[in-house]
Amino acid sequence: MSLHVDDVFKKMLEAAARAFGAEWNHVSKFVPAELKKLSIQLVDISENVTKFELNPADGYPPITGQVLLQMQQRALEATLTAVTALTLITIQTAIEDILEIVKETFAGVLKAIIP
Amino acid sequence: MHIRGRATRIGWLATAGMLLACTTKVVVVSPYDVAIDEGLQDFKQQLNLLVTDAGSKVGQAGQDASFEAYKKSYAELEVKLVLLRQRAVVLETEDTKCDVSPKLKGLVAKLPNGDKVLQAFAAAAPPAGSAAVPVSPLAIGKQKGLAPAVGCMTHLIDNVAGQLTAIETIHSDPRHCAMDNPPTMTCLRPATALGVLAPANDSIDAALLVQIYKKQTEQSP
Repeated sequence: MSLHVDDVFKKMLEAAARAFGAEWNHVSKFVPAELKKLSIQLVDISENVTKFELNPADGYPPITGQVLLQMQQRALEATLTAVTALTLITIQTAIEDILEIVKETFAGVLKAIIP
Repeated sequence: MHIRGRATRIGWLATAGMLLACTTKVVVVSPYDVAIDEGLQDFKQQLNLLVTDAGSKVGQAGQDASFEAYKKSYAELEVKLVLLRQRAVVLETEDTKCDVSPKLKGLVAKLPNGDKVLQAFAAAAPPAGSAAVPVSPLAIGKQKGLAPAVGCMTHLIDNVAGQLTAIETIHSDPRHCAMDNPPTMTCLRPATALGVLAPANDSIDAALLVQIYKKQTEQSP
């Protein structure tokens, strides 16, 4: 059995399609949920600053609200970084799966170079 | 000409073979690490205990809720993060650079009110040099000679360190306590304690989620 670029490429595409599947759908469901959570936190910060201004024993001062807003920003960055990490892990798994399928399909030809 | 063409083909085949051989073990992300997983869980537990305890002591007679009373606990948390970061850096030496894709950033901006959220963040960002000031000499953000973050886990641990520094800043600055006039006391007000835990836990959970996903991926057949 001879090795043809088109055959390998076709097989890789089939494997990749299965591996990545609904990746983007997953992300686009995930991010809006994070933003909803974030909007709840933003309202909470605003309410606590208002409480403090009405009664300094309640809530917290505006300066604290500013730091809390930065913390919320950092939490969103962490979420986006985690999504990036999950995508990279999926890519790694996909590449390994693709190579495994190619190895199985063209075992005779590739035996010498893929352990 | 014939010999030259054959040599070229052999050269190409050898290169392709070497490439395939090299890519049989693809390294895009580092493997699951039990020490980072458990270390982050311990860190989360300790941080939640510290913040909840400090928040509950404010205004209670005979209770010391000042930053000084918790300084040692903060230092312990910082040491834990430094060690976790060092481990992540070593494990992620061969990792692909962890960049948040422009597509993902674009998605956030396109979502309902996403642009407003990003604008609010930009407006809230303090001028350079006036951001959270670490109060402990071990604060990660101020350490010199740290290896740059390449992989995602190092970035996520740095993110958690940023949250810890922000909590320390609030706790150590009397203006955030604002229980006396002019402010001299340091504390974590009860509402502040609740407010800092949500984003700090989100950052820790983001790192833990990546560890869980790695573990599941490695365990799946």
